[in-house]
Amino acid sequence: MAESKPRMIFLGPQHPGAPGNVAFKVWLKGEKVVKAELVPGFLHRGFEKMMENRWWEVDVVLSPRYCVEDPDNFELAYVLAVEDLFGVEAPEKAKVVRTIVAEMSRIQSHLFWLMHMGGATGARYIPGWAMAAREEILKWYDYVTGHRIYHHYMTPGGIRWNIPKDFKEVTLRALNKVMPIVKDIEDAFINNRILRARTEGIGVVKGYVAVQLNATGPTLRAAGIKYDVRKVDPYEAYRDVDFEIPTGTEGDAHDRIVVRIREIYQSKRIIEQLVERVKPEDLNYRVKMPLLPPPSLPWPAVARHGEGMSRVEAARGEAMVHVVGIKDRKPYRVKLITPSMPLLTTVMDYIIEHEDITIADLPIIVMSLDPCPPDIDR
Amino acid sequence: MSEVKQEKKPRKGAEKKGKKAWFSGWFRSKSIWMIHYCSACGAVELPPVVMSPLDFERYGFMPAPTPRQADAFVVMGYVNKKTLKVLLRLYEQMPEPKYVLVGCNCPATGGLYWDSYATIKDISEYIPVDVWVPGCMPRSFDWLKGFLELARLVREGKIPQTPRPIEERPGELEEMILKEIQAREERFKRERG
Amino acid sequence: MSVAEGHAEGKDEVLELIRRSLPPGKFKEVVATRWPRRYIVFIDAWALRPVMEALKVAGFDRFIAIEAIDWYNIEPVFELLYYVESVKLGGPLVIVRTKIPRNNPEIDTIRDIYPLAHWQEIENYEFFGIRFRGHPDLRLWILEDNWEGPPPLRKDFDTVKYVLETYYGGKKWERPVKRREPPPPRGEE
Repeated sequence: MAESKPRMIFLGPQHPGAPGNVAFKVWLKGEKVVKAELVPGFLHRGFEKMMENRWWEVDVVLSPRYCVEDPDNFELAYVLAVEDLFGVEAPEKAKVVRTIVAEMSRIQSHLFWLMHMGGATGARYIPGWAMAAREEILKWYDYVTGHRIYHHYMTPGGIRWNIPKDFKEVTLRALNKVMPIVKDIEDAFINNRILRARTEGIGVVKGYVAVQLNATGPTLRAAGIKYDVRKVDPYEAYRDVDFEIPTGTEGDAHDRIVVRIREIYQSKRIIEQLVERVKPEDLNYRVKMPLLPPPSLPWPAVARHGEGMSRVEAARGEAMVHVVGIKDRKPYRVKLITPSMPLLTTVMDYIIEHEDITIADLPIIVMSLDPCPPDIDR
Repeated sequence: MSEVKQEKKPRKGAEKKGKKAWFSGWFRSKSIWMIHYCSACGAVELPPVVMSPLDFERYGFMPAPTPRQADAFVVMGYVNKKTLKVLLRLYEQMPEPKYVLVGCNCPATGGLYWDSYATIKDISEYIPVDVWVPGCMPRSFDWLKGFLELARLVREGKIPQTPRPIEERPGELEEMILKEIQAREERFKRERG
Repeated sequence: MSVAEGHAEGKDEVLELIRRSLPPGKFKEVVATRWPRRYIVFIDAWALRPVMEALKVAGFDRFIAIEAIDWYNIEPVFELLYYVESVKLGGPLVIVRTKIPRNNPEIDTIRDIYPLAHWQEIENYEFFGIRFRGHPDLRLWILEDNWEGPPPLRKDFDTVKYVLETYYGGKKWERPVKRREPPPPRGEE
C-alpha cells in the first residue's frame, strides 16, 4: 500500500472530548495521530487590557474569571500582587480563611476534572458522583461567601466580610460529605481494570523531561518531581501547615489521576488544620488600604509607583500575577501568567512525537493534563 | 444551477393550532435535546443541571453530541468573534424546529466585558432568542428554570419556526450558510461602522 | 516601591551562583529583590541569548513566561521580562529584564533554548507587535478571527473608545436605545 498523506481533522471546539471551548488540528494517518496543533482563541476577552481600564479594586471582580473551574486561586494571586504593591499585609485571620477558600477551590476543581476524566474514559458513573461531591462544596461557598462559582471573597487587605459563626462546623460537615464520595470514586475508578488498560502507559512524561518541557502542576508532580509553590515559595498560611506533595513514578495518564486524587486528601488535611485556628468572633479580618492623596476617596485611591508580584500554586500549576502601578487609580499593566499553556503545547507535542497514540487516546491524554482553555486565551 | 429555493410561507401544519399541533408540541417539549457545546464560563453550572443534583433528563432534556440531532441551542456565557462563527455554523446546521436558550449577562448586553474588543455585545442580532437566563453566572436552578420555560413555550406552541430552504444539490446548504454569515457580517459592519 | 528595596542582608548563594554563571560583560546588573528568592537580571537586548543559555546551564530550567510592558508616555520602549525558575535548585525565580525601542521592536528568539518560549513569543507578537528574530511562525494565534488592526495591548490603542464607537454608538452613558429591526417572518401567529 502506498504511503498515504496525513489527513487533517478538527477535534473541537464542539466536541464532547474537547476540554471546554478549545480546538485541535489533528493530523491522522489511519487511526494514528501524527501531529496535533492547538487552536486557541475561542475564549479570548482581552483581560489584560480590560484590567488596565478599571480601578484597582474593581479588577478583583475580573481576576477570578480567567479560569472558571478554579477561580479562587487566581483571585488570590491578584489580591496578593496588589497587596504587595500597596505594601499591606493582611491580618492572620484573613490569611487563614483565604487559604481555606483556596484549598476548597482546589478540591472542587479536581472534582470537576474528575467529571471530564470519567467522561473521557467512558466511566459514566464518575461524573455524577463527582458532581454530587462538588455540589456540597458549592453549597459551602454559597453559605460562606454568598456565591457559588465566582466569590470575590478575598479583597486586598483581607476578606470581604466576616465568616459565619458556625464556620468550623459547616466546613467540617462539607468535608465529611465530600470525602466519602471521593473515597468511593477512588475505589471504583483508580483500580478499575478498564481504566488501567486505557490510561496506563499512555501520555508518558517522565522525570526531568517534564521540567524541560516547562510543565507545571500535577503534570510535573506525576512525572516524579517534588515541586510545589506552596512548599518552595510559601505564601499565606502554607508556611505553618503540615502537608505532603504527592508525586507519581511513571508519569503516565494514570499517575496524573492518582496524583490529583491524593491532592484532594492533602487539601482536606490542610483545611482541617487551619479550621481550628479561625475564630468567628475575631473582628480583625481586614486592614484598611493605605491612602495616598487625595484622601477623600475610598480606599485604593492611588497606587504608588512600583511593582507587585505574587506566585501561587493553582490547581493546574503555578500561576503568577505581576502588576505595575504608576500614580494612578488604575493599574498600568497587569500580567496574568497562567499554567495551562505549556500543557497543551509543549507537553502535547512531546507526547505525540514519542508515542504511538490513536485518535481514541487523544481525549484521555488531553483530559489527564487538565488544561483550562480560558486561561490560555485570557 | 437552480436558484436556492426560499420558502416564503411556513410549512403546512407545522405550527397550526388545533389538536395535531398541540399534540406535536407536547411531544416535542418532552424530549428537547440540547447541543453539547460548552461555549464559555456559564457552562460550569451546566453539569449540576445535567447530572446530580438537578438531573434535567427527568424532564426529557439531554445533551446531544452533534448539531444535526439537536433541538435546542444553548449559549453559555460571553461570545467572542471567533466563537460566534462556530455558533452560527452550528445553528444553521440544526434541523427545524430549533430553539435558542441564552444564559448569562454577557451575550445579552455585553455584561462585565462591555469594553472588551473581542466579544460581541448582543447575541440577538445574530440569532433569534427564545429564552433568556440572566445572571453572572446563573445558578444551576436558574438554568433549569430556563429549560423548563423553554419546554413550556414549546408545549404551548409559542415558538414559531422560520422555514428553512431545501437543499437540492449536495453542498448547497454549506454555501448558503457561508453566504448568510457574510451577509450578516456586512450588515454588522454597515450598522456599526 | 523599588523592587530592589529592603531585601535581607547576608550571603545569598543563589545570587552568587547567578553572578558567577552569567557571561561577564553581557549583563548590567544582578539584584536580589524584596521578595525572597526572586532575582532580577538587567541586560541589554543584544545579550539575551547568551544570558538565557547561561541561565539554563546554571540550572534555571523551567521557563514560565514572557511579559511585555509598553512604557508609552514615560519612555519610548517596550520592556521585556523573561521569567525563569529553577526546579533543580528548589524554586528560585529569575526575571531577565531588557528594553527594546518602541519604534523598532525586535529581539532575538529563544525558542530553541526553552520550548515554551515558542508559544509565548507568538503571544507577544500578536498582542504587542514585537518581532522575534529567527522565529519561523509569527502569526495571529489567539487573536486569529478575533481581532484585526493594531496590536491591542499597546498603550496607544484605546480599546474603550473603539468599543464605544463600534458597539454603543459612541456613548458610554445614556446608550441610545437601538430599535431592533423586526425579526424575520417566523411562521404564522
